[in-house]
Amino acid sequence: MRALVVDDSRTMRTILSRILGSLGIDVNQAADGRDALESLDAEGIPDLALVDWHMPGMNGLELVAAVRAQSRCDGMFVVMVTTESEPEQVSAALSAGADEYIVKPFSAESIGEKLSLLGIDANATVSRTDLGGGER
Amino acid sequence: MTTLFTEDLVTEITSSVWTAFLPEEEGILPFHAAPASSTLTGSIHISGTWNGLVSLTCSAEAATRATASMLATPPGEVDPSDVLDVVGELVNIVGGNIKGLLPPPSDLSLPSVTDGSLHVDTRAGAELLVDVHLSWMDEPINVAIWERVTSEEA
Repeated sequence: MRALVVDDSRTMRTILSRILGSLGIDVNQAADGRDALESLDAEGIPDLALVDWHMPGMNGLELVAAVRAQSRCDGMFVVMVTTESEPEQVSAALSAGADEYIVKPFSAESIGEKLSLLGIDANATVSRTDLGGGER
Repeated sequence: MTTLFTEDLVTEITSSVWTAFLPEEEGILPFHAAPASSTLTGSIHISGTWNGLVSLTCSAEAATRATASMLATPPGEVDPSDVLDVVGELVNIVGGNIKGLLPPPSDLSLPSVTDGSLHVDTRAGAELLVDVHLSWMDEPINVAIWERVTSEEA
């Protein structure tokens, strides 16, 4: 399984990559939305993307909308990882196409639990479309 | 609305951020630590139903230790740009959780980090609401919330 971590903070990218790595997931990193879209073109579509909300240039919400507009990304799970905790923000992210939502600060356990809720297993080949997530 | 911001709540939020991202280290303590000769300040603006900023000032030593722990790097090998990134991310998370206490809609800016303490010009209409002094590994941590007061409110 492959994942893309999108966050403008190198620290946060490192922490999230370490957590995913401990779960046996291979990780690429991107520093903002534009960088993430370039990574999708260059590296291919990962199984999972963890996306921060507040980033310079293209923010996380814009990235989620851009990703969900591309059918090639239908099988990719998208999880927002952000300080935005208000119900309105959660609703906006899910409406834009995010599959799950994690509020900072988080623990390694909470990341693992959210991924389990999505049925994500580092050794499994399940994709978002297998679970009906790509149907629009 | 500003009574939402209490010293206890700000201490609790800050402590939870430290516990989450620095689980191997000792927790934050609600005491004044001795002032540091060199400090860094991260700040982030909130705008919307309430307008103001949240700042987090810590000693350079605390910032370096936090960076080393979060990036799993020996303190002597920490890159200065990573120290700025860590302080910015910490104030981003503390500020985001403080924003979560406010009625929507509210927006959070991107964080900025500077050397030294924050200098807010109170003549321009800023009021200090909360000023919490904490200690982490015997190093000072300060979290402050400033409200921007418009001329109509002043």
